[in-house]
Amino acid sequence: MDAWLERTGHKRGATIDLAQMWALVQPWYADRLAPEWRGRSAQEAQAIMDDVGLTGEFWRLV
Amino acid sequence: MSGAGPSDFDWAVRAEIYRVFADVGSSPSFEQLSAALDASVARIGESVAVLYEAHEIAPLPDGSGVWMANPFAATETEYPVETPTMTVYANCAWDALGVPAILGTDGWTRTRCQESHVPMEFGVRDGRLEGDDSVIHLVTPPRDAWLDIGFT
Repeated sequence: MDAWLERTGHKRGATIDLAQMWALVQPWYADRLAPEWRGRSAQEAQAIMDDVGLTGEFWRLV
Repeated sequence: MSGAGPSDFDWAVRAEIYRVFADVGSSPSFEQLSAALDASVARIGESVAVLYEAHEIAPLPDGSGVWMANPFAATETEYPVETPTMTVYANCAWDALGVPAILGTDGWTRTRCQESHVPMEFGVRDGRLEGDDSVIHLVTPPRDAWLDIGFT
């Protein structure tokens, strides 16, 4: 990853394993097909991230 | 975000886009949305612009159609997701797992590491997460995702 960051000039972001990503996307996308979907507040999105243990500045929405 | 936010009609456009993605794995065209919602193509374009401001739908760079309705991508990407009934393109590794999550189905992705180019595969089989022992590197913080949704 270090070589890629150096080559592209991107800053290091955050890494997440598949299990944690799966834990995140299930509530993240659970109700988005519903015709009555009207968006999600930043606070609601933050709560999902907090619930799956994604904390720290990178994951901070509000 | 600017303006008063999406209207009921705008939300109906969004719902139709997602319905079609979920049914067939690709986006409806503006013309198809126009017919489905009994509105002009121009009105559909206006709604998609509002939905972009609301961080719901990303239009193609030339404004001619839908580009992204997360987790779905309207164009081929590095993240094809094979579900039991179709192949759906996801926008990123996050969304490659988002496809089985939103559809409530299995979904398997064969791709390559965007950094090392090593082949990798992962997804949901028989309702269980499986795949390479890999990690996903996110460059853009989620709060900035829509500043440049194409890069994100």
